[in-house]
Amino acid sequence: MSGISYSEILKLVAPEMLVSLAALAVLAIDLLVMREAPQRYRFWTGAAFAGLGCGLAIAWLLAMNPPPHSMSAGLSLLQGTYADDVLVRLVKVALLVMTLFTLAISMESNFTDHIGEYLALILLATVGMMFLVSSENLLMVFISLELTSLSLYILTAFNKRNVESAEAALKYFLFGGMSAAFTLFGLSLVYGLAGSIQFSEIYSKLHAAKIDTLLLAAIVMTVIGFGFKIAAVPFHLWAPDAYQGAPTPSAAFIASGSKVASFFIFAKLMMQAFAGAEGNGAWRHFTPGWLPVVATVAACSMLLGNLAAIVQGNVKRLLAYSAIAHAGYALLGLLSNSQQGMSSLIYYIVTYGLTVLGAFGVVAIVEERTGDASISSFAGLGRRQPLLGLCMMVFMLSLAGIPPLAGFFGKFYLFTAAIGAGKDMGMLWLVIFAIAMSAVSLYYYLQVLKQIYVVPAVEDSRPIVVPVSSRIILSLLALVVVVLGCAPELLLGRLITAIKLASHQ
Amino acid sequence: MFENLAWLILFLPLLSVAAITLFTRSKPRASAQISIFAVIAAFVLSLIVFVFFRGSETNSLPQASVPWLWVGDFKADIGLRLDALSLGMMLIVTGVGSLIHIYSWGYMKDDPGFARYFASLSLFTFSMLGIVMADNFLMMFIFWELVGISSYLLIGFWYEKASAADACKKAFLTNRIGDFGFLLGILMVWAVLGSLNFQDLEIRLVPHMKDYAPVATAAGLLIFCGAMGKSAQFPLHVWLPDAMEGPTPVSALIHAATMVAAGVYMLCRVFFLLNVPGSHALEVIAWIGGFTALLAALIAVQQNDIKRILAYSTLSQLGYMVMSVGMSGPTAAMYHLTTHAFFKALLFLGAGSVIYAMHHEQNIWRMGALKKKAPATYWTFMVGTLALSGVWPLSGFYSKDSILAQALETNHIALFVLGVFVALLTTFYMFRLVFVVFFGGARSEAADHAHESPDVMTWPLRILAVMSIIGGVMGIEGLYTKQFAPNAEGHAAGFGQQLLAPFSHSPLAAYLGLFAVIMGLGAAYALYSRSLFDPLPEKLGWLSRAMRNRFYFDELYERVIIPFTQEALAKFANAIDRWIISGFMVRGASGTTDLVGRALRLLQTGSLQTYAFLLVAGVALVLYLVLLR
Amino acid sequence: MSDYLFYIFAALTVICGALVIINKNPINSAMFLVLSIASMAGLFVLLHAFFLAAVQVLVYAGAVMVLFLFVIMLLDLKEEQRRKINTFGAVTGVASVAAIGYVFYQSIRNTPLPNAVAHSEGDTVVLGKLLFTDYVLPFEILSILLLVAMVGVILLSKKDLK
Repeated sequence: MSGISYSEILKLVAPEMLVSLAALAVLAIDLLVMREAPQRYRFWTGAAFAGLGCGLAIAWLLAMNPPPHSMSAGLSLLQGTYADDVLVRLVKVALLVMTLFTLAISMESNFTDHIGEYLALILLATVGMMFLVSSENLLMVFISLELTSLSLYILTAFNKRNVESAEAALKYFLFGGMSAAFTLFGLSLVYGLAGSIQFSEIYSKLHAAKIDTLLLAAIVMTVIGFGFKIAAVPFHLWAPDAYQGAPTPSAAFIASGSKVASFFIFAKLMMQAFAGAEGNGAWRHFTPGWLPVVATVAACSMLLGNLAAIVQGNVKRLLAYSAIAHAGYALLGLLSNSQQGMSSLIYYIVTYGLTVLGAFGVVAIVEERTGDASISSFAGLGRRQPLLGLCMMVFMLSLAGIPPLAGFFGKFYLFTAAIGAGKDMGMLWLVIFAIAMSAVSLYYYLQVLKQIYVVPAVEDSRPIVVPVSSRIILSLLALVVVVLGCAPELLLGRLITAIKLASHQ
Repeated sequence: MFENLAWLILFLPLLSVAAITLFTRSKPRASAQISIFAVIAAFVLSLIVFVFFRGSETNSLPQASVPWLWVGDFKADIGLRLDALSLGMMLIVTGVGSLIHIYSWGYMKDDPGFARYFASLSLFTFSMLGIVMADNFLMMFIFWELVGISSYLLIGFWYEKASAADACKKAFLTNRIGDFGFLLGILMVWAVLGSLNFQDLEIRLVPHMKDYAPVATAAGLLIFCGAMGKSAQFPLHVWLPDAMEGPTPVSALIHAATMVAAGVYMLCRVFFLLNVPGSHALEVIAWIGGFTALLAALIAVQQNDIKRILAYSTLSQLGYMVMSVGMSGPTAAMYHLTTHAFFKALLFLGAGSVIYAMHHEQNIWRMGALKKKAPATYWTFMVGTLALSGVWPLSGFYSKDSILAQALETNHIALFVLGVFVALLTTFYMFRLVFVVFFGGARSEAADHAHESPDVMTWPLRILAVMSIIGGVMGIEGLYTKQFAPNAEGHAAGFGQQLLAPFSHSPLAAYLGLFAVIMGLGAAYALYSRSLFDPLPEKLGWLSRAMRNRFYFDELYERVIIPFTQEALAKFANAIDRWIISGFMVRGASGTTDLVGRALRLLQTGSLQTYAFLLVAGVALVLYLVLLR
Repeated sequence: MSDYLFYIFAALTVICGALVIINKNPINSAMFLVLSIASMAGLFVLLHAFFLAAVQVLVYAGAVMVLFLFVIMLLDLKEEQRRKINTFGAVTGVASVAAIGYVFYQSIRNTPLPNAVAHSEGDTVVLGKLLFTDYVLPFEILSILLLVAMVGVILLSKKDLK
């Protein structure tokens, strides 16, 4: 043990500890004290504790300076099982914020009586994600990935009044298990080749070596696991079913927090551990490495995600396909394989997460009030509940990449990163493709907006009553999307400084 | 000091949007007053900056920029560029905008969405000013899209009408196709030259010419794609006529005077990137512009809706401007843009006045004899028509002449002939419109009971009419010459000389232009001065039918291209996934959209197996590609 | 010698694994699973990971399998036995596994394999030390994971009253 005491470890993992404690507290309180209390009251108490835990963790992350012996650079302790630097902390804060919003949009859904368990699982999934982003060790990556996934499987199955929910969870679970098997196989191959499971040691062992087939196989296998988590084609098959079947807040959480964490660690693994095994992803100049693999996956995701989204009749399913497409865009940041690429990736995926949380928040309310989430149940929303319609417009347009919303700037910055990467604009082909596809994507987002603003409500055109709290949450998310689009510096500036600091290790 | 004024000009309309949405949404009159005040104030301030600029003898005022995002190589500022080009355009946007705001007060009076209308109008003014004043590509692009959105809001203003909703969607989507190219072009320029700021780019272009020249054609054409969408050039022209579903003042402001001209403005702004030795972009631009001019003029000849005639006329004039840019004549293009803004806004507002008088009847064959009923409208409309046709000494004559002269100077004989022919067609269809609407007998009851519009609507017409008359001798051309050819001598100083300059400068263009006007006028008089119905369909047969049906472009797009590309691909992609989901061979594919709504116990296992198979097959394929190939 | 043993155990693991799937009788399947796990324990022994081998046998072959059998016996087995093997599934499954196997075989055949990683002593003391020092975090996270699994199982198996 590298001269570090348990109390120091405890201090290091304090944010994670706080969230876990909150989870246990919620579980215990709900079970022991609140069992007989009315549903609403139970939810509020539980959510208050959960929010308190997340809030404290955020405060800790922001207020505490990185531990003294690490200086400005981060540190990587205990065989790389816990890395801590400014960037990791930022991502954790983003994750916690998304968790808070997920809690907030769960408020209006009424799909379960097991409120304590529900909230606790969300928190524990967050713990998994937090450990995931601070791992620089293959074992740790795998374990925290599993913790996250397991919690999410259960969250997907949470609506026991609906068969679809159980079915979606089963698909999600079996599919996840299968990709986990592949990943584990890949990771064990990496261990066999490098003799270590720490990112830094893998890098020092592998970066000079010739890229042989076994390493390539290992990389492909590893990509599969992450491809599953980020729902990239051809590992996306679970996503549409899971998004549609899962309770809406769970789906929102799968689409936001879990994606941010997975993307971050995916990029870190590829850029740090497998640096030197990039190969070349330029059009018609493919040389083996992880770049061409990821490039192929990205292109397929954008193509299939965007085209299949056009014909969807259910908004949750539509958002699932759009998530697949967005995974494709975000991979462009990874493909840039540079600091700029990393910052663009994180910016994009964080703003995407917030946007999609908002979109699911609106869907949750509409679904609750009209009974389903088909596109036609959004008809006339602009008049039935103008604020909700407006928020949805902001989210949809941001997803489509219309300035001045966050989605536009994220895309633009991703594209500049990708186009400037490597020499001779090697990624130009993919950027062209991405822009064309994002032009296509506008079509299906407009379909939703058309329902909201143009098509009159058929059966029930009475105004939808939405509690003030939900209104505030959704307006807040919409505001964040607008502000981050107009002043990306707010987030991006921090990210860039953090990445610079982190890379001086 | 003047930079700060410029910021104020830009943000005044935005403030008005904020004020209206936050405070006065339920008070229509107050909302309109705020919006009108904002745009007039912006105009006055622009005028002050402009006067200062004229006096300063410099080519551009110092740039005012605020760093927005500086990340490594990537720098983006929010900056304003104030030079002859942008200041001229600002005056047009705010000046014509002010008149149209005032006119709207009368035209939209009883509309329930009065406040929303003025908020959107202010939003539009803000975004348009953003495009005009932007000093870099990124900012321009952002405002470019914002303009798209506000135009979308305004076209679909009466969204209860299905046609309006479809039209705004069409406009938005078509523009996106153009923007796709534009964004790509911007990224390409950034990748090669490493900057997005116009001034920086101009400086960097010289040392980096070696790198830029090979991609110049591609980059130029991609950037032109943006203009193609926004300025509705062939083949993306289909959205503009449909955009006439919006309220008429909107058509005047956005789809005639300002927004559609943004494409031309943008081309002039980045003219230095297009005008690169070895690039063929300009040639293509010139021919697309010329073709659009001709196509639209032909279509306009056989339209019967008063606004659609004007819409196609706008298309045709925009084609003219684009053609002029393509012939290395940004000065002439901007000149024509300016005068066109005056008389086209005038014509649209006049048409609006006619429609108002006729109780929202737009078919010209149900009008007639409005000369007596609405004299102010008639006279101002007549001035607009004469200016558009290019009758000496109205403004249209001068600007059109300078484009034709440009064609001769740069030896584009074919385009010159085309230009003259389009001028003839223009006169013909405009006088067809005037004869049918204002002369002859009343063809319907509504025409019999028509009445003049209120003063708040006719005064803007009068002011615009004056501008259309004197636009040619105000020294507009000199203003733009200062920008694009600072070393050239000014044309003529004295008023009299200016009046006659075209005849001495390029007599062939001037005389042929006038000849075309006379021919067109004669033909229109012979055919339409007294007719009760359109005699052309009988004489031209299928050609007339093709013109009336817009040469079937919309049908081509709707029936062939859109279904083929978008729908078919989408269905295909969905089918793949659907096929997977329903577990092919297990239960067979089903046609319903929502498969999961059924009892799936059996199907479940099937689809899971299929999932597993596809996952593994995907893995095998990727492995094969990476390892063995 | 240990090479031969490796191949024997490996083959046993795979074959028993396949038999778990193919067998129609769930109890037989479970028994083959025990065999498969036991031969895996053999593999651990060959790697000098005695503790892991012991745990494998105790926990998986012992405790977990007993639970499995309990559950299986509670179920209605007749339905399972009537189940036909899905030809489509079988064909595609075999085909895809074969494809991956082929790709791997081809690529590994042409690659010189790296030297094996040195054996680490797999005795309990070393393992325990590692678990409570360098790998204390993964160890603790696993306990959270088990908690999640527990909550999940209780939640999903419980009948909702409504």
